[in-house]
Amino acid sequence: MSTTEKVWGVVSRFDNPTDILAAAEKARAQGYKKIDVHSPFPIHGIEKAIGVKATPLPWISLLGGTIGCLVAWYFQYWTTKDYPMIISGKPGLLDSTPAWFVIVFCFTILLCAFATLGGFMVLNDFPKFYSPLHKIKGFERATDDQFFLVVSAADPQFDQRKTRDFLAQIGGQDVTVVTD
Amino acid sequence: MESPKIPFDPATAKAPTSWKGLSVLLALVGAGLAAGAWFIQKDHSRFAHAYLVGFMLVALIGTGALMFVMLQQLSRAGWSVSSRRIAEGWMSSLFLLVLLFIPLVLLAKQGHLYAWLTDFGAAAVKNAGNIPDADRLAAHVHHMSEKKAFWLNESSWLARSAFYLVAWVILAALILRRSFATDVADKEGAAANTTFIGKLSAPGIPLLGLTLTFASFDWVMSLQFDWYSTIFGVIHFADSMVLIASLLIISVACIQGKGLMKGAVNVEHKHDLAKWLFAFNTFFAFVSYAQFIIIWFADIPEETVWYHRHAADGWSLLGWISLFGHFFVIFFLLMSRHMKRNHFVTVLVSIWAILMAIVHLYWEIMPTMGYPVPHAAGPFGVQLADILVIAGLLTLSFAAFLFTLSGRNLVAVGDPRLQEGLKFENY
Amino acid sequence: MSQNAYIPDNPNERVSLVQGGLNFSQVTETVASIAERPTSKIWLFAFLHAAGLAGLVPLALVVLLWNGTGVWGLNNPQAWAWDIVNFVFWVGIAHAGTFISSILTLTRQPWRTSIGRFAEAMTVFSVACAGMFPAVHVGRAWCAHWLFPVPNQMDLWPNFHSPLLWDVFAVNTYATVSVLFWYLGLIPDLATMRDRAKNSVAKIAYGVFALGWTGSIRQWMNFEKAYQIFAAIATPLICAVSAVVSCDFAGSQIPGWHATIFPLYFVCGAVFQGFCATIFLMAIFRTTLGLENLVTMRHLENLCKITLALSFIVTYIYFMEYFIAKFSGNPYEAFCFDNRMVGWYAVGYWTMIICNGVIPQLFWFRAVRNSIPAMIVIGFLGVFGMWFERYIIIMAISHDFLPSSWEGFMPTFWDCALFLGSIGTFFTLLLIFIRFVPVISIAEVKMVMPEAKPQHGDHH
Repeated sequence: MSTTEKVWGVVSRFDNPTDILAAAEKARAQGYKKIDVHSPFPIHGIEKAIGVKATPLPWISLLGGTIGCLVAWYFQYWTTKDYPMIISGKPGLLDSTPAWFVIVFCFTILLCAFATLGGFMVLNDFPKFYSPLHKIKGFERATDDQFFLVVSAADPQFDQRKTRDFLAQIGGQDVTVVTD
Repeated sequence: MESPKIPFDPATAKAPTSWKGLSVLLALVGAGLAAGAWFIQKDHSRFAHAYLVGFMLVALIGTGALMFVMLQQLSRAGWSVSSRRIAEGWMSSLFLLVLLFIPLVLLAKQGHLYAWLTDFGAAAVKNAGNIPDADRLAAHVHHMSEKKAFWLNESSWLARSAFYLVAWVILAALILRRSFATDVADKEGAAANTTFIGKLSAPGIPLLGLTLTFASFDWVMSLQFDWYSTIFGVIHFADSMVLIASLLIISVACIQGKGLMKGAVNVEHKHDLAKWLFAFNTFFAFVSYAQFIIIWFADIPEETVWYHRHAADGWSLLGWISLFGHFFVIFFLLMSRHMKRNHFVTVLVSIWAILMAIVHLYWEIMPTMGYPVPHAAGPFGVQLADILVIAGLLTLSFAAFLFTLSGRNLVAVGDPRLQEGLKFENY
Repeated sequence: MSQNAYIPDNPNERVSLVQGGLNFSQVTETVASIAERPTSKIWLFAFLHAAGLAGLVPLALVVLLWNGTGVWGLNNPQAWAWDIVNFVFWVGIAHAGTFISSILTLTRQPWRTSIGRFAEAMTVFSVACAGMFPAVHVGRAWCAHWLFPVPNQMDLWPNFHSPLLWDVFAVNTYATVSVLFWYLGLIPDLATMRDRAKNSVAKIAYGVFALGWTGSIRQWMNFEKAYQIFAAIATPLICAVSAVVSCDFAGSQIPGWHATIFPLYFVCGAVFQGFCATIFLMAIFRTTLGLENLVTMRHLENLCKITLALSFIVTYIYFMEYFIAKFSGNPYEAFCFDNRMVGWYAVGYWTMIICNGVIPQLFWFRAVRNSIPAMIVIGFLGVFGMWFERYIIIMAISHDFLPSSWEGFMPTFWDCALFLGSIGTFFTLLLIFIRFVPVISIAEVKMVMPEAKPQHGDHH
């Protein structure tokens, strides 16, 4: 840990979804760009309020699924092409594809699942066992029943005092400056 | 493009009464097309089979609509309330089906369809000449008809068919009446009617499931009557669900294009209808693949005969279209959320899906022409008369839809769950 | 009002899924405290019994591996016999969890949130039990790796045309995807447990598995999308797993096995059985764990209704099978079904019909759908009947084409020991789960509470 702690952001607490949505919209209207909301459950509509883009996760899953599909088909073809096992009169390439389909399907799903969980971890920067937020007293209720609005110090409009006052003014409780 | 959301305007809920006149006109056109097909088609057996394709299409549209409505009511769904009346309109195909059944019986009685009926099959084999082992084949067909006579005989076939039709008509009529009643009832009355339809649906769904299964056995599977498949009924159920989802997407798009139902069905509802289409199209692929792989894998001659006949003489083309066009094309086009929310894409895919359902029925029914004489269906080909009769019956079905909803509310404005259904969003 | 009273439906208003007026914090407390409070005597009692029963597994396996499969009752023609019955049985139990968390997610059924976690745990543990049976059934268990796609010393690969190999892929994929799906859903709740933990061991343990979750909006968006994708891929997967298991049978030419409805049959049977098991266990654990306000009578009633619908589907399939066997004109098929009804296995056949087709019909009555004892009994009988369904399918090939090879099946002590041991294993794992992990998805339950929806009108 560095000896000189620098400011990481300002955090304020709200105690219901309606208030935090309103606050997030006001902060956005004020011109803040790097805002985040921490809540015990997803609040639908808030991502639009603070301008978070849709996640690219489906594309990662699709990629995983596609690779699984192609690999499984080619693998079965590759293992039988030099030494065909002609069983129940089903040799050849196209002739066998109906029977290969099941494994192709299973492998598609499997790699899609790995890609989805992997993509989820990468996009969230997981595992990450340290966050300055945990220094805040009472932040443990972010996974229980409280809602936190964070304005990052990286925001171009960030000013420790002004931002703090602004958050207090829009109804935030326990407004705290977090250092890292 | 995703169409923008606008609030529901109840003033645009009512269909004009002019639909009645339009429906009469369309009915005349539809009947004319079918009659025209009869006059230009010299081969009456081929006409009968094409007629059966159209008949099954109308049956699947009607039963699909009925099943859709009952499932939504039983599960107390909110999302489907604003488009459910359209499905109720399509249920009217079931009333039409009763009329359409009469020509089917007449065609069957003349020996154009079912080989088991009064031993038509054995006679056909004897008359065909120049086929190898004709006597043994005729004896086999005769033997099988006798063996299956406990189920496949004229009087019980008629009685069962009548039972299916009556059951469907009663269910559809009861649901339509109660649903129209919610439009004019007060809050309590609307709730009571909605609860009634929900309660009726609980026994209605198993009843419809069973009757649809046996209808597909009796009307389609018995064309090639020595063949059997336990999953045959489920395949037709899946197709009926694909049909109704497609018809709902198209009907809503056309009706909203006329400035009616403003805002009632927005992009979220269309997204859900597209999911329904996608889900049941995949289910259709699952059950069709199950039937194919098990028969193909075990290679038992009694069962592979069906695929042999339906792949012979170029008819396999339709099977390939069913696989690639019915499953893969729709699957990949509708996989993405953006595609399901795209108005243009969903309408286009729906038209394609209806076409594919027709191709699938055509593939199941047409190659059995002249059964059990081998290769009696002749090389694969589509004739103008086939298209005319199928189009004619589809037009009649559309006419019944317009007639039923003419002057009625196109949105169930009194439904207690309408407001909830108008509000939701897909996350 | 009693917590076991019927909650009426009113089309004009949706009933709240959380009863007893709990707020967010009380929901957390209700669920999390189960894993936090000191070990109770009841839990210890149940755990020791379950673990004792599970102890039969190593014993039965040692006896089996020492002696070979001769200690079992299998014979020809019933070369698969008892342990494949149990394999299909345990795969079936698994299906409710995946069904609830995939299909009910895709169809936006908010009531699934209270039940999904528990049912998914059942999925993971019963797949673990299922996996044991085919592995030891090969006889020479040290050659079990032959099941996997590795070449032998002659560079020959396994036969990819074989449904038995498909099965290996399907079941392993299913087990893996179920565990990943379950774990994904657990992450936010593990963070809750981490943030509530009083001692540092628990904090670190939960913290490691919570991966650093802070509930930020970006994390939630990725979470919800990932959950939806998992739901979307798990839906065809549950259809595929049982369908592939069914192909082990239907891919053959044996009368009674070879039917085109088999894939659908196994899927629906499995989901039915899984729901029966869920009703049975939920009805018991709901009271013992004090979850009455979260798993309300309405949740249970919904489960009962789905079970009734599934009972109709399995009955439909029993009927279809019988009808087509008669309709087909195939004498072997027809004989096979007559033999099931009046032959050696008639008791099993009628147990199956009564438990799966007849008794669930009691769920037509509201009083039954709202009676905890009735649910426990009917749920148990459903599971029992579904075990007999597999028993009938697998054993009733005993009378096939050649009368000279007809032979009945009687299980031996070691057959039964392994099965009882697997039941013990299942409950041991389930009890460990209850002790350490939130049994209900805390975050998802909060999400479907009316208070979770921001009131838009206030500020626009």
